[in-house]
Amino acid sequence: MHESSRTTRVLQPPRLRFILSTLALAFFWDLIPKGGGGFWPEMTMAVLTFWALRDPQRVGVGAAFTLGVMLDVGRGAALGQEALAFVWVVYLAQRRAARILWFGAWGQALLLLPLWSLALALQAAVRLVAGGDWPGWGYFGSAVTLVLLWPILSHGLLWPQWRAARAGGSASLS
Amino acid sequence: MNSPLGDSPNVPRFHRTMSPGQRLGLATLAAVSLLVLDLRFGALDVVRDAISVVLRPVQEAAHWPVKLVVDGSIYFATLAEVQAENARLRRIEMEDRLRAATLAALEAENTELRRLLGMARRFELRRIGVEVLYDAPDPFSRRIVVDRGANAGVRPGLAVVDAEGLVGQVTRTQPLVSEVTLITQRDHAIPVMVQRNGVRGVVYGLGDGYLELRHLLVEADVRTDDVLVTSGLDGVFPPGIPVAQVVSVDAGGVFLRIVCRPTSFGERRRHLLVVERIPPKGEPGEGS
Repeated sequence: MHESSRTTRVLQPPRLRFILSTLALAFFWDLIPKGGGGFWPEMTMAVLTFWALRDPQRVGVGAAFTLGVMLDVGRGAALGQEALAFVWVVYLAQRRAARILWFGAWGQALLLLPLWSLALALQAAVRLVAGGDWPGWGYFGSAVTLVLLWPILSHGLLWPQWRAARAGGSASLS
Repeated sequence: MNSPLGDSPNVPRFHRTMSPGQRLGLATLAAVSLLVLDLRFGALDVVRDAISVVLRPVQEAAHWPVKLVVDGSIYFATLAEVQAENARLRRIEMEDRLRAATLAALEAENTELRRLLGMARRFELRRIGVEVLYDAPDPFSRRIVVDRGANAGVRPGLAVVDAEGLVGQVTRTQPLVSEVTLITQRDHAIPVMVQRNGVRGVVYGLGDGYLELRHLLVEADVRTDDVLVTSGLDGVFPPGIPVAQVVSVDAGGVFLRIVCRPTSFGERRRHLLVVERIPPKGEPGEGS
């Protein structure tokens, strides 16, 4: 598990195209109307968190805000609701990146759980104050789903860089 | 050895001029302003529409998986279920035809009487059949999305009904789809009257699937099992559509606490009707 944190330093930076397409894919997933209340993973938030940790130069508060507003429109939520949540998740993840990345995938997921829960709680607070319906506890279940998904997700998103490193990229960096 | 792909010029310039904390503050301020403008003043429909123009193709693509699942589950419904439903529908159709025949006679009679009395003609109804696409993905509200939009003449404010009664109200339209807020949404208000005696009031959604008839003094004559229908006083909803049935009446203080259950099946129905009340044109006798 610790392989991911140790090899970080010799990995080449991810391609911008890859970052954008993973974010787009996650965004698409979040737009699929799934129903059934809660427990569905908020993929845009997860992928944003991942890139905020791994490539803070390119994915930061600005990207989080933009995607958040677009997702709010796409889902018919209150405008700014998800933007607010994403911005805070990304900021906090970047501030703690060094500590979080020191752990393996499961450890990272457990450290990220409070951030994701905060994001959901922020959105709930905003909407309930404005007179929205209580979404039920299942709503917070999506943070737990993200914890369970994180190991697969982070390995999947790192895979192209690992492959490049193994294909000889690491030799030039030694 | 920095950036072998030569990406560094792509780093946004403001990145170097603002600290992360400042950017967070700015973004938070922007998000909160958006929220206040949207939730408190409803002033951002222009922004929303502009962004939806770009998002619409993506959204439509995102509906495909749902459509596949729904259509698939219908395709694989057992023959017995379909036969049972068919039998039920035939029975209902027969009853309805009979009722429609009587209704036509009554309508003619009503028009004639109104003409004799010199009263304005009753409104007319325009109906648009719609199919429920899915529940809106926002967990904080009770809304559904249906497959007809502004292009089909759906407008915000129109009533949406099923065979049993009022389901909701159109709250937002796009060219091809529209969003319907269900009557059970918290604080969604509908002017109603008690069908039995014409006592008027306003019914509010409670957010838990029930409704509450508010602001009626304890003297008001409302009983359990009374049916509430739209009063039409808002000028938007056609009068007489069943809305809810009274479940409990509690005479606590000055006002009655009346809890009701919606009569419609709403969210579970696949086919609904958007109804528009069209004010009568011209003189009373014109249409006959």
